[in-house]
Order: sequence, then structure tokens, then C-alpha cells
Amino acid sequence: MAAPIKYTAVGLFLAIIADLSGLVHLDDEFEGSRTLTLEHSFTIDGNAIFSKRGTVVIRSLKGNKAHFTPASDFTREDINLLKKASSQKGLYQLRVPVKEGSQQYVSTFIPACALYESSLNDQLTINFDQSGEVLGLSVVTTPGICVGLNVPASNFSDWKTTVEVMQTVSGPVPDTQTYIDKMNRDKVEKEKGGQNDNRSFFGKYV
Amino acid sequence: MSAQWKEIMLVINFLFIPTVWCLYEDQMGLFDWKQDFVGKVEYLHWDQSPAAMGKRLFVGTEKNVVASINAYNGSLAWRRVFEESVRGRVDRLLYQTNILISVLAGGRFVRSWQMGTSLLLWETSLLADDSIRASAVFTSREKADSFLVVTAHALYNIKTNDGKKIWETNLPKSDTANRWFIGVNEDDTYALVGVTPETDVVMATVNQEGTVISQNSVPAPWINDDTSCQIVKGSYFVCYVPSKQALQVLRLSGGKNFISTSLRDLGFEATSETSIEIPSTGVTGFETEIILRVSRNHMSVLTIEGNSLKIVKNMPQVSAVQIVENEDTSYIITLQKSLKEPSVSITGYELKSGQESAELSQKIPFANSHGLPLKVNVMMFTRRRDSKIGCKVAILSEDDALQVIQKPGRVSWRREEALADILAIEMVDLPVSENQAKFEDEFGSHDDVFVMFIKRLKAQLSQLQSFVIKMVERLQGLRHPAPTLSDEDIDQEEEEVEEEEDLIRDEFNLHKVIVAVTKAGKIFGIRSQTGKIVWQHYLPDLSPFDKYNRQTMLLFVQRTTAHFPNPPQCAILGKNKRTGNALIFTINPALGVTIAGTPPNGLDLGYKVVQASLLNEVDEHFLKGIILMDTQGKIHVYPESVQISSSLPSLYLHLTDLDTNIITGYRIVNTNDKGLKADEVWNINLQKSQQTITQVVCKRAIEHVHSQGRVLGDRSVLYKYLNPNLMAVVAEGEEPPSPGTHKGPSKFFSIYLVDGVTGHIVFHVNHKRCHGPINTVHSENWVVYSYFSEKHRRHEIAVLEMFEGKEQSNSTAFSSLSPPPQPLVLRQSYIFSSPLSAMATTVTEKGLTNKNIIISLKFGGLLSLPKALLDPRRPAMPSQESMEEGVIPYIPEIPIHTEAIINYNRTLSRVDGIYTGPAGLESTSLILTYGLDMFYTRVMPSKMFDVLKEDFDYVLIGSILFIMILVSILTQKLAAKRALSRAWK
Repeated sequence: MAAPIKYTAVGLFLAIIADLSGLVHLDDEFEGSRTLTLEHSFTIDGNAIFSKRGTVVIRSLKGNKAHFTPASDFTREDINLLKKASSQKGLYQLRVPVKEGSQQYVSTFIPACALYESSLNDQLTINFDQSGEVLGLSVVTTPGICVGLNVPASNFSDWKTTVEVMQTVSGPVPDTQTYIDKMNRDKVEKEKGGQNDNRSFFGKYV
Repeated sequence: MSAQWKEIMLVINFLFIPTVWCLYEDQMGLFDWKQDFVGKVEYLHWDQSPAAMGKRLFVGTEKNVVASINAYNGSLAWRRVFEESVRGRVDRLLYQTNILISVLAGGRFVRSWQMGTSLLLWETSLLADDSIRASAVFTSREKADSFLVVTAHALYNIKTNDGKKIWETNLPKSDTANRWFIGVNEDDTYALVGVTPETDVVMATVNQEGTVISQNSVPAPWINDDTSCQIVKGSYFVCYVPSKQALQVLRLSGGKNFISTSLRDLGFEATSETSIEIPSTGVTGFETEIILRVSRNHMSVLTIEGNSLKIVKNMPQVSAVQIVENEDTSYIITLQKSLKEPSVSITGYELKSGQESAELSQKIPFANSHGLPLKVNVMMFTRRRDSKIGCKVAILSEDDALQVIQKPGRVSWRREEALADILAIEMVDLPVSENQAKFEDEFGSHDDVFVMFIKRLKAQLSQLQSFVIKMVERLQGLRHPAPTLSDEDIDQEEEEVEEEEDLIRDEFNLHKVIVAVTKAGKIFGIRSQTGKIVWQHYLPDLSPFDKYNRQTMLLFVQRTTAHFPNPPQCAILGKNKRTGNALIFTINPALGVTIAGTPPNGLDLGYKVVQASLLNEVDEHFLKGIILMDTQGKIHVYPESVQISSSLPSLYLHLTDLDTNIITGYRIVNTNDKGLKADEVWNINLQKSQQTITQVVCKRAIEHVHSQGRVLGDRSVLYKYLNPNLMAVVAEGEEPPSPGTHKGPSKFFSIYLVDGVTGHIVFHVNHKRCHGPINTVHSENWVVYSYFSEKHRRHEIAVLEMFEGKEQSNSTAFSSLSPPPQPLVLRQSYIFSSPLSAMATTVTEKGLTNKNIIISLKFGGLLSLPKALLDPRRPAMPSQESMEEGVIPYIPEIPIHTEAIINYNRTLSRVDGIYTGPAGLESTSLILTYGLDMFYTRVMPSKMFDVLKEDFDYVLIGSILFIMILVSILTQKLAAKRALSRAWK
């Protein structure tokens, strides 16, 4: 009964090789750091006025290594804007340029109250395609629901932001090799343990 | 060893699953029906051969079909379906006595057909460019032994009996000219005119040996691809120029320039429909008259005498004209739709004298739902008995219908060819029966006790009445209709009786009305159990939205039958042909009557629509609203009685711009002064420089998901990621060849799963060296898509399945604004051994039943594939746990079992789409495929778990039950007796 375990290990090994080759393949697509300027707006009644929030530095798309550096502290003014937007069911909008210095942006939003009640605790996700172009941006806060909390101003001293990077992955391909290996192994096993069953027809079912 | 056995047994088990779907032979056609279409008819010929005179029609259609139709009942004698691409385009269909020749794809394929059986007699291939339509004519009026084909490269003379080329000639300017006209001159030379758009026309005269005798070119900067032109008498070239509102005439022998004749000079007022009419038989090359369509219902026959145009007959109010010859006399046949009543009068005039021929004139009923008759093809004959002339008439109308008159005054049959181009489809429940409705009325209202009591009595009385009627009917057996005057009346009466009985919901709600919106602007209501048309409406102004060559129309079910006494309501949204604005038309889908307040030709909304969606908000009559966004970004709600303010501001819309590949999300807000407004809240950029968005697939609103998760082998639950706002965006592109390697350009595609509220890209995947057409099915927590792998040269199907994980973040509701953590996306891909044209998933009432994927295969099969075979959790190495869970071990290829082909031997050609709808039975899903063929059936993906089988043995079960009861009574008695006797001891 040790045999199947061994074969499973081989299977795993094969899978790892396949994964590694995938990595190698992807690596020549895009690697290298880049910086994106993150802009935000506390939008009331659809009037978005964007101002710089900070920069996102992506060191490696593969390793999901990115972090956010705020441009300045969250000022008194900002707190008031956020409070106002929060109370008037406004939005908190974010955008990054598609390329650094470009006028084309990708943007996203959350209700302003969600940012307010989370006291600046948000996670950004930036999506890249395989050649490293920016596709989209999204943001979630923890907690994500508005319950009408009143948050003390002291909580808004600094951003508690994490940045995640997602890159397009390669699609699945039919895994014929593993299946053929498995069939071969089954065949070998059958040959090995291929002693004839000498029991009678009824004996097999008793 | 035992584990292996188990595994093998498991595989065997799953291999046998499909067998349960197959039908018994006597069940063929019991739950399904199929209808064959040919598409919009372009060429039409009556069979004139002595053997089958007037018994068949030959048609060539826009859907790349050549077919023969039985003239007595309209059934297809045979049908040849060519390729869907330009390689199958029917450029000309030539017919003479015993010869039927099709010229396809600019002359690339010239084929001769055996008329009775559609056997291919011969085929020849000419040097051609398939982007340029070929022209072809016979060399003589009757019994021609050869015919001419002009392709982009040369003029060919081909023998009719074996397809051998007699000669071929290169024509002048064949490199720039992209349309050619042929005419046969009286002196048996051939006149050819080539058109170079916006530049000039070149004329050439070719003699019977194939030598170009003369050639000449004349500047014609006004001419383009759409200009309607014709060669008259083999010596004049006539064109109608819309920009000048004038006819241009050019003499082919030595003419130096076009002579212009304004329509006004002829006494006509030009319209947008003005053009030179091409007869339904195609251009023969022997035309001596011009049929000019002045407007939709104004025709005129002109001729040329001494370089100037002369009106032969002017026919206001006439919408279809044919010039037909019988025994050396030419007749003009005209069709005039009556303005007052639904009828058309057919009139025949002698061409020379202009006298009306009484034998040809007749009046036929012609429903308004056919629009105007557009083309007519008459087969005239002289009766032997009394040497009077008679005729058989085939009519093509605006709604693409083909109808044939065999006996004067009556339409023998009609084919609704609009159904070959369905753009939107829905299945709607039938209304409940009268008794049922009374119950609803009784229990739905809050009257005082006395009124309720009266109602109760009335309801019970009517129930008793219907019961008695039913019993009497059953005793009487089949009813025979009372004898009436003509057979037509009987037909109609029978139909009416049937309708009254049938248009009521059945016990299991299996019978529905299929509402189909077609490209021609016709809307049909079709009975799902028989495929018969219940009602039809033709809207002359309705046309599809046409963007990037993709035609769409929208059909919304605004109110279902569930809200008695309010009738069900459907809304059809399209584009107004004349104004370009949105056109909306509302109808009661069960009865086919327009909703009060809707204009009979649809309501022009007065703005162009870029996005439309059905709302969940209802008005006080349970009518769902439609939200529309116009080109200015303004938001409209139809009907205005629907108030959406309660759901604001959590209403979101998104727009996909194919020019930039940017998807933009909007939030709808209510501004106090300017009404509703859409604020841009998010956008994503899918890199137009690399790829183009080809599909955006959302989930269906009617879908229910019964199970929130999957129970694993260890009894823990893996929760599904069920985001109702998720959409799958497919973008296709091509990678330029990289200079380093020696590879050519390779195609690829990407799939993005985007949250429609926040624009959050949940997952994105890319397939290299693969291309479309990509068929995508998006349901529950999975996306299944098919594509072609260039690397392996095979079709593949991939599946993405999303799970939240072992814990569910919010079990009661899903909110995109506070989403669960990044889902786990499992993916797997399989080899699919057959090309496929469409995919859909079954949908049931409560979503309890397993899902099947319905795949239409290019070879004509309709495959019902269990979703369990497309499950990314299929393990390569089956473990104890996966076996416990019942996941099928991974096999790279998806098997195509013939038992799983639900259309058995009924081949389906060119399936455009598959519609699936729920039935009242949870186990059953209704399926309708549409395209060139329509096929309706039902599937039970988890077998019929909620219905007793037809062969259920009631007698056996009943008698066993009876015996058991008897035995138990008996034993009770015996036991009591025994107990008594024991007590005495």
C-alpha cells in the first residue's frame, strides 16, 4: 500500500514543475518597479475634486510587493470633508493614472461613510495585465458596512493602508500529461499485481 | 485494491448517467418539435419543368441557403445550407426549365443541382474575389446551353450541362471595378458594365466568341456600392442617384456621358425608398422595362425610347410589381394592399395595351401583420380545358414571409421566414384558467362576509359546471365540428376552438408562450408545446440596434402572469428605422394584444438609447420599470409611473465603450431640479491597444441558487462566491509577431470578472495562442467558456469556479460595497472534440436541480452535458475524500455521448442561440434553440424526481396496499383471538 503514496508524490512534483515553468514564462513579461500617483476625492452630489493622496510603489508584480506612501497627513480640513461627505451619503473616490503622467485614469469608489467608520483603514487592489498595464483599481475598508458610528478625530491621524497587486494569470490548459502518466502507472500496477483471481464466479461476490 | 475498484465503479457510474436522457422511439416528437427555415428569400423561381410544373419553388436566401419548397403545403422538399461566412453567400440563383445553378461567393463556387433531389450534378470553381458579388445570366431566354458569369477577374461562358468553360475573357478595369452588370443585346452580343465606386463606369461589348469588341469608360462620380442600376434592352445602362433624385441613362454603344432625368420631370416625388427594383427571379439580362419603386407603396414601370425615359404605367398605391410573359404576351402583375381591410388585390395588365386582364385579377386576405407585399412572382399558364390563363402567385412581404396562392382568392400556405433571424426571445407563463382566476379574485380581495359567501357559491357553481361539461365531453368522445359552408371556415373554427382550450396554464406550467422578436421587426407569440404561432405583430419602423455589426433588440418581461387581474406585459425595445431614436412597444404576451396607450407601430421615445435595463421596482400595478440611458447621459424610466426614488442611490449602471475598451460605472442619483442623473463612479481600462471587448455576460435575473455551498468529503462546507453583480467580460486580441522568435502573430483572449457596482476586477485570466468565437455561460458561482486552441488545434472548454472559502462572511445578503475577501478561483480546462456554435445552461424554478450545459454542436447535435463534468474540483488523483464527495476523477477530454444528444436525429443547422427557461416542475427545464432551425424540447438534468413515471404501476401498488391493509386487519383479529385463548389457559 506504499505504492500509491509514492506516486502521489511524483504527481505533486510534476505539478510543481508545471507551476515553475509558468512562473518562468510570466517573468519575462514584466518585472520591475513602478510608482503610481493615487488621487482621491470626497464627492458630494457627483462633483469630484481630486487631490493627491499619496503614491503607490510597486516593487514587483509577481511577489505582490507594493506599498503606499501618503503625500501628507490627513488634515483637519480632510476630516471635515470626509465627515460632511459621510453624513450626506457622498462617495469617496480614488483614481490612479493608467501610466505615470497620463491623463487616463482608472477609478473606483466606496461610500464615504465606510471610510469614515473604518478610520482610514483601507485595502487597495490594483489590477495589472501581463504586460504590466494598469487595468483597474478597487478599494475596500474594514469594516465595510456603515452603521452610523461616530468616530473620534484622533483616529484619523494616519492612513492604515495596504496595497495588493493582482496580475492576469494564465488560463487553464487541459492536463493531458498527468492523465497519461496516471494511466501508465495504473497499467504497470495492473501488470505487477496481475495474479489471476482463482476464486469462482460466486466466490468473488461472497 | 478495493479502493481502486470503487474508483472504477464510480467512473462507470458516471459514464452511465447520460443514458437516462435518451428517448424511446415512440416518444419522438412528443415533447419536442423542430421547424426548418430558409431565411429571407432573395431569389425565387417557380418550377417550370414539364414534369413538375408549378409543384415546387426554388429559393436562394440571405442565410446562404438554396432550397426547394413544396408548392402545395410549403414544406421543404430539400435544403442546402452553405457556409456561414462569405464563402457561402448566394450571389445568384439561375433557373431555366431543367437547370438550377447557384453562383456562390463571387463565383468561387458554381454548382448545378438536380432539381428533384438536390444532388450535385457538377461544380466548377472560377477565379474570384469573394468580397465582390458575381453576376450571372443565361445566354438565351429559353433552353440556354450556356450561361455567363462575371467575377472580379474575368467573364466566363460555362456550359449548363457539364460546367465546362467554353471561353473566358479578361475585362477592362477588372482591378478597380467591384460590381458588374450583364445584359444581352438584340444582336446577340453581351453588354457588360463595371462600376468603380465614386469614379466611373466601364462599358464593354463582348461577342459570342468571347472577344471584347469595344470598350469605353464614362466618368460617374456619383456612383457607389448601393446605387441601384440596371441594363435595359442590352443597350442602355440606367441608375437611380438618390443624391440628385434623378435617373441617369447611358447608351452603351458609343454613349459619351449619362443623361440625367429628374424624378420630378417624370412626375414623381423622391423618397428614401426610391430605387430600381430587382425582380425576385434576379436580373435575367433581357429586361426591356425598368420597374421603379418610387416609395414604399408607389411603383412605376418605365422604358427607354430613343435615349429618353417613358412611363409605361404609373401605379400609385401598388407595392409589388412583376413583369411576366406567357405565350408571347407580357403582363404587368401588381399587388395593392387595401387601406381599409386586411386584403391585397392582385391585378394583371397587358403590357402593350395596358388593358386589365380579368382572369388574373383577384383579391386575397392579407393580414396587416405582414406589412406590405414587396415582391411577387407569378407563374402563368394556359389551361388546356378552356385555354384561359391562370396563375399561381408567390408573394414576399415586408416581414420576410413567403406566401403562395394556388387557387384564386385564397392563400394556400405561408412561411414565416422572419423566424430564421430571432434577436430576442423569452418564454412567458400562460394565464391561469377561469376557475383559478376566480379563486384568486376570491381570496385576494377583502370584502365583507356576505359578498365573500356569494363569491364562494359562484365559484363552486362554476366549478361544478365545468366538471359536468368535462364529463359530458368525455362521454361523447371526440367532438365533430358542425358542417359549415367552406373548408376555410372549418379550418379557422378548428383553430379557434383549439386556442380557447389551450391558452391556459397546464398543471405543471410546462406550456408557455414563446415571445420572439425578429430582425425584420416582427414579433411572434408561439405556443411552446406545438410551435404554432398564436399571434404576430409587424412594426414597420422597428429595427435592431446595430453596433459594430452586432444586431440586438431587447425584450423585457415587465409583468408576469402572477399578478392577477393585471395582464402580463412584455416590452420590446429597438431602434426606429426612420428617426434612429429608441422605439418601445408593449404587448400582452399571452393574448398578443397591444397594451392600451401604446401606438400600433410602437412609441418613439424621442432619444437614442445607449443602455437599458429592467428594474426591480414596480408601480402600483406590479409593473416593472425599464431604466434607459440616452446618449446625453440622461436617465429615463419607462413607464413614468414607476417610482425608483426608494431604491436610490443604490442603483448602478455600466457602459462598455468598444472604441476605447473602457468600462464606466454610473450611480443613479435624483437631483431635485433636473430629474434623474447618472454620476460616473468608476472605470476600468482594458487596454484597447492590445485587445477588443467582444462580450459582456451577466447572470440571468431569473436564476435562483438553492445551495450556498458545497459539502466536501470531510463534511465541511465550501461556500460559493455568489455575487449577483458579477459580469464576465471577454476581450480578444492579437499579439504582434515578436522580432526575436520566428513566430507569426498569435491570437489570445482574456476574461475579466468584474463587479458591476464597484468596478472591482475579481479575477482575470488570459489564454495565449487561443482564439474565438468564444461562447460564455455565466451562472451561480461559475463561468464556462469554450474557445479554439491554436497551439493544439482543438476546441477546449474551460471552467472558472469561485468560492469564498470555508467560512461565509455574510450569510444573509451580498453587498458589493462590503465584499467578502478575495474569492478562491478554481479553474480547469478540458478538450472538447467537436466544434460548437452556442452554449447555455439549464435553469429551473428553484435552482434545486443539477445544472446541465446545453451545447449546440456544429454537426447539428444538441448536447446536454452535466455540469459535474465541468467541475474544476475534479481531481487528477482521486482520493478517499473526493470519492466520498462524489467528484468525478479528471479526464482531459469531455466525452460526447450520443445518448446525451437531445435532438436525436433531427439535425440543427446554424444555431444562433439557445434559450432556457424554467417550467413549473422543478426537475424540468425548457429549451429552445433558434437560428436557421428552431428546436424546442425539455430536459431533466436530475431525472424526473418530482413526477411519477408514465409506466408507474398504480394497480400493483394499489393492490399491494390493499392486501397489506387486509393482512394487518386479519392478523390483528388472529392475534386478538390468540391472546384471548391464551388468557383462558
